[in-house]
Amino acid sequence: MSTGTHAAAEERPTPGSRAADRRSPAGSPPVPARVAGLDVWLLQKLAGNRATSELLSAQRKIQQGGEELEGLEKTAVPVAIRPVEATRTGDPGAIDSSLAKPTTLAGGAAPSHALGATAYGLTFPESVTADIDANKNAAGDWVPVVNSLTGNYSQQVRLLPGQTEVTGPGGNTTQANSCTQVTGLKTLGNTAGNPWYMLAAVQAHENVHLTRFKPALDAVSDAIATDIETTVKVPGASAATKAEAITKLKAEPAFATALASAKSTWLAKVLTLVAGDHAAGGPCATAEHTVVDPMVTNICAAVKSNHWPACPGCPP
Amino acid sequence: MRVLLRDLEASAATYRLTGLVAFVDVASPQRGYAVHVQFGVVNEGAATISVLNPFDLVQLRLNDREGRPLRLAAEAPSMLVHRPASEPWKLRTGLPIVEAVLNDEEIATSSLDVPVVELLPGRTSAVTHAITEHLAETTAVHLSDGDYAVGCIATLISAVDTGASRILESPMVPVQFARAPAP
Repeated sequence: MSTGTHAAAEERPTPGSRAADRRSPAGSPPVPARVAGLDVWLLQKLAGNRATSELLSAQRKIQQGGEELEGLEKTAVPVAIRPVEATRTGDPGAIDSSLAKPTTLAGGAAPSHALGATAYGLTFPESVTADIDANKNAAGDWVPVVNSLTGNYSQQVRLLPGQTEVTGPGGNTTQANSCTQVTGLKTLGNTAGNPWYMLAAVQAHENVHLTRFKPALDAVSDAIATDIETTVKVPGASAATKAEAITKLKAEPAFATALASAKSTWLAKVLTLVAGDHAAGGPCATAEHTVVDPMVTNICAAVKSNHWPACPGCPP
Repeated sequence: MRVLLRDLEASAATYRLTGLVAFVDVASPQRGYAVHVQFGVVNEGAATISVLNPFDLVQLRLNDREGRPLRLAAEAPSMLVHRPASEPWKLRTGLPIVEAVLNDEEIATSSLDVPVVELLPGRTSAVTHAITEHLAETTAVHLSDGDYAVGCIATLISAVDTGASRILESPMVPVQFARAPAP
């Protein structure tokens, strides 16, 4: 067996593990007795690296002996776990946004997810990039210092295949389609097979989500920065200058891992902030109505002034 | 090896979700056509907890032996995708699901095509993903034999009060993989 990731697990955090884990030894989550299996991570937190190292060593011996994973259970070390009382203020290890690093958003990133056949739009956190400096730590290694973070996002908006933009009276509104247009607009494009909608409404919807991206990045920026600053380093002798050290730090696998984690953390935070956006009558619906309602008013006025048959969606 | 996820951040209203414990279960060594990774949630509380489908919101991560992240096929969480409300909700995951368990009962994957999951007290709900490949630029590359590390970031959001949420993260779990023909 290669010593790659396993050796790393013994001597330092497993590749990709988060510095945030180390920042709050008192912040262990409630741990149920029902959850079977061995929690190496908690063991590391509560019993220390040495116990964890012994455990992983035992795991390796089992694997080398050809036993199945179930054998691990035999090596389980009793761990006293102190449940943390639940509070409304949350986990003691929660991110302190007062320490947030400067952040900016940058649009125009290449979308990693193509829109499916029935998708109007998608605004998505694509990556996080970090502007770093380099300093030497007490051990003489070069370590990064995060100056700022940039959240790169993509945004895609469109009408669905087969749909046409409503341009209104004087545009493509006619006696024949006026009521269908009103229905499509008043239902915010949600009726199945709806042939009419407005791109600006889709854009307004996506922009609501986008308003969550910066607060989300701000909220997790300190955790991201801490992760980068505590998991990435190069030997002091490997670079003669700060500029050279920065280049080498950015080339480290741990740097790529930290940025990948950063993107995941940012996305997770975004999800928590957009969760209420789609509520009935919520922010997205409100934003779309600001676009479609004036058009509905115009169409209904045209219906009335032209003495076209009344539309159910128009006021009497 | 089963590891518990730890809170990376908890919102002020997390009390609605404190009964939930999330885990990742990864056997090692594994021999087969894929690395199997199970992500699950246990409701250790005394009451049913309704959450937005956690299997739609989990982000799996895979590192190579040097610790470099490998890109996995993934779908954007449904919450972010603007689809007509008339379209039935479907769980879309970039990685295939080979096993699904809801409240201790094995279920068809299609049974998870629901935006909200009711987590019964004392029960476990989990999905097992099969990682057969990672993405390099635009092409998919089969996992080769070797050492990897697997982990995830999970987002739990109350369906009753979407302002109540938890972001949890697992450590990266080492897994040794040897490829064998698909069954």
